[in-house]
Amino acid sequence: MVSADLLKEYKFFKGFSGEQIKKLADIATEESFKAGFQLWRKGDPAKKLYLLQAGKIVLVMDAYMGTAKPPMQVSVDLITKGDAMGWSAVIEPYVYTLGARCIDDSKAISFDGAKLRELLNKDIILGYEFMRVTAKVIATRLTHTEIILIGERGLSILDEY
Amino acid sequence: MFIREVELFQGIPSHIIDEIAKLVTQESYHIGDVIFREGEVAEFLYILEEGQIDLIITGQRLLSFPMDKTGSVFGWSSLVEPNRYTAMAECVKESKVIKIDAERLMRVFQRHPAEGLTIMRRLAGVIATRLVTSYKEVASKKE
Repeated sequence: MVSADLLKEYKFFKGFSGEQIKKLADIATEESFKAGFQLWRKGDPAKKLYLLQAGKIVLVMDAYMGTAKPPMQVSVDLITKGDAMGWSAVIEPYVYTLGARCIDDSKAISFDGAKLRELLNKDIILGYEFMRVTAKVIATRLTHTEIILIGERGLSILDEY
Repeated sequence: MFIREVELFQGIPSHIIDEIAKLVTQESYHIGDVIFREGEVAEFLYILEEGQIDLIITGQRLLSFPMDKTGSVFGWSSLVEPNRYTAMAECVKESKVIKIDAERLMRVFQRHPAEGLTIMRRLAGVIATRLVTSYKEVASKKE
């Protein structure tokens, strides 16, 4: 459980009522990760949704540079303070679509996926608001990915960790 | 095509479908017609009845997502902030589409939040599917 005031600072919750934020704060916890820590891999069950409080996380995919070599991780998107990550925790089939790796010591507010889904189904007005914001998060991720695909931004290989 | 046959609206009670049906207009497009452009204010959600519409994004390279399946949803930016289209929609085969006034559709969702939640969840799934497709394209470019 975290304080409702903590959640109110995030643009993710802009437009949510005090009562809705309180319900979300009741199921939230704070977590810290060291630089280099892999939060999840592509294909893992999506157990949590996070809001980043501090630090940096990269969303990564495996790239095969040759059959003999092990896959390398390339960064597809960067998560910084205030961003949400792990939308797969509320969207079927609840499986992460990229990996997530911490590149700076980081702190995040986490929401357990099962508890979150239960809350969103129980309080449908909250559920609707949450889904509206989640759709926006996914759409932003899509825009960032398309920027790579149209050649406006390159992919960087993670070789430091 | 009836609104209730569209995957996005399946299982939604008929009195709500009737409300949504009032927001719908049918349109026909010819080859080369542009339905909307990237960056324009997104006012309408579209569903393909027949034909083919390509969603196109341009930069140093051109990116094209063909939509040719009946019931395909496009123009979802009309329901997602900041409500601006993220691609251009161009007609590449003679097409019929259903166009829904998004602002009024949102008001239907607010009146019926349970169904609003169901439809918004499915819409998020539609965007997620396009995202996963984009990830596959990024991966194939790396190989």
